[in-house]
Amino acid sequence: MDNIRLFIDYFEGTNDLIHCVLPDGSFEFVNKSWLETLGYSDIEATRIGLKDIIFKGHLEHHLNLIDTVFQGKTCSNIEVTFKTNTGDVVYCEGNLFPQRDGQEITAVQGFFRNVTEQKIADNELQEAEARTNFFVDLMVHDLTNIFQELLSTLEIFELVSDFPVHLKEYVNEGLTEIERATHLIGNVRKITRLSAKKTELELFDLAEAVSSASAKVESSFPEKQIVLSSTLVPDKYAVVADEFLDDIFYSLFHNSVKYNTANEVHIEVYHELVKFTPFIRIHVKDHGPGISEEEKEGIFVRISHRRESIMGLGLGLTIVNQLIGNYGGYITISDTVEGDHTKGTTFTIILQCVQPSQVDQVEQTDQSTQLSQADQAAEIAKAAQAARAAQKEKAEKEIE
Amino acid sequence: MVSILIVDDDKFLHKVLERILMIGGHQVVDHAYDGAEALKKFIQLNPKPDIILMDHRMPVMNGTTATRKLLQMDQTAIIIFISADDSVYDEAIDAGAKGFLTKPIRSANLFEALKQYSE
Repeated sequence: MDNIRLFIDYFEGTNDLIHCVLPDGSFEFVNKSWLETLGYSDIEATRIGLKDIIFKGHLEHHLNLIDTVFQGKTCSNIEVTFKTNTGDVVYCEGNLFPQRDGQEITAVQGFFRNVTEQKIADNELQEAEARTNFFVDLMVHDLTNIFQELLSTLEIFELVSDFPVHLKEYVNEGLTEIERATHLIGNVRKITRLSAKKTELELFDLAEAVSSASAKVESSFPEKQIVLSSTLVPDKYAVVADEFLDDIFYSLFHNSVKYNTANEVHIEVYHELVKFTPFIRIHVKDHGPGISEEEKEGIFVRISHRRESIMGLGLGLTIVNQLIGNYGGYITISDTVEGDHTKGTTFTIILQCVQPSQVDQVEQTDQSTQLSQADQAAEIAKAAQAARAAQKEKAEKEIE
Repeated sequence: MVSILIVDDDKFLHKVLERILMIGGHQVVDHAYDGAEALKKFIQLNPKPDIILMDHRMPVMNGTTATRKLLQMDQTAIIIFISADDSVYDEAIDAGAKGFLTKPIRSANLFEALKQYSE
């Protein structure tokens, strides 16, 4: 008797909706939360059936599920949309069980959790994201067309032979500014796409990405001589990345060249394998004006009010950080000359790497070493995760 | 000299592109402002243009649909996309475009593409 009382108290006290459906679709039992949520009284509940409370579009599917349960099966994690007495919609998730009297299945018990608020919030979030993506796409597209018109107009001035030579300097400046703006809105598009969906990761040749990025930067600064020295050899290290791997190095090289006033800009790329782990550490070192300690904090986070102070680095490093995070790696920043930020900057990137010789080596090692490798890899992955979490926290604090 | 049909819904862009192409020694033989108009103009043109510069996002008919239809009419037509939306690159190439230039493009790159695809 005490046990029955306990069950009744539980059914009546829970926030979940519970009902018991008879073969004719009427209700043998409904709990208090069911009545309150769907807006019926005890007496009304005895006069209505399943067809009255299931949203029309879901009715056929739900009746099929009920039939299945009457055949002795259980339906778990089902979604059902109820209709209240006043016509409102209630989204629920739950389970259906057969109620037995000996061998006979006499009813179907349904236990449902009301997820309406969560569902509405999810839908609103999805709609907001879709709206944001739509407007970003529209803005980027239209702005790019406007830039094309401005660029072509300035190029006409640049190309015509009778345009005054002393004014060509202004035309060139204008063209550079358009290129800058184009790059910025291109990054906005890229960051929106990255946020919208993560691309599938594959193996990409690291040396090729560095080389390709270097060539792109060289074409962006025809007036400067870029001397890139790299220890990376083609076809030796493949890293886990996506099609945007080049963008990481492009962004870092571009900044190095852009903010270095010298005509000849030296950039060094060197690497080391992180011992006994599947990671490679790549350093990108320049000898430019450097980045102060204050500016280093949160440099990978795009905060609008920081823009001027970091000389318009814009969204580039935000994308770099986001990409590397997507690849399961991380990036840090330090001074090229320790303790003197004015002598240049070194970015250090850690990425997951596959090297043919290393794969062979791993296969030959004993189990204990492999465990050690796994532990260290896990430790690094954990450190990367912690670094990303710290950056995110910092960004959130700054936003606040 | 390359003869060109420009297809883009941006009228001012037609004007500046034509001027630039003229400076580069090329000739714009006609203009269309959406994909459907491009089909009509292409049918009417005689001789046919050496190259069609095609935008993607346009009213009435977009660039990739127009490209498919144009190539159904004339398999030898050479179509180069000039679009602000590089996400349609694969779609454009699948439709049969020979090249894809992402806006904004510099005149030097445009001239180079014209040279490459008209040869």
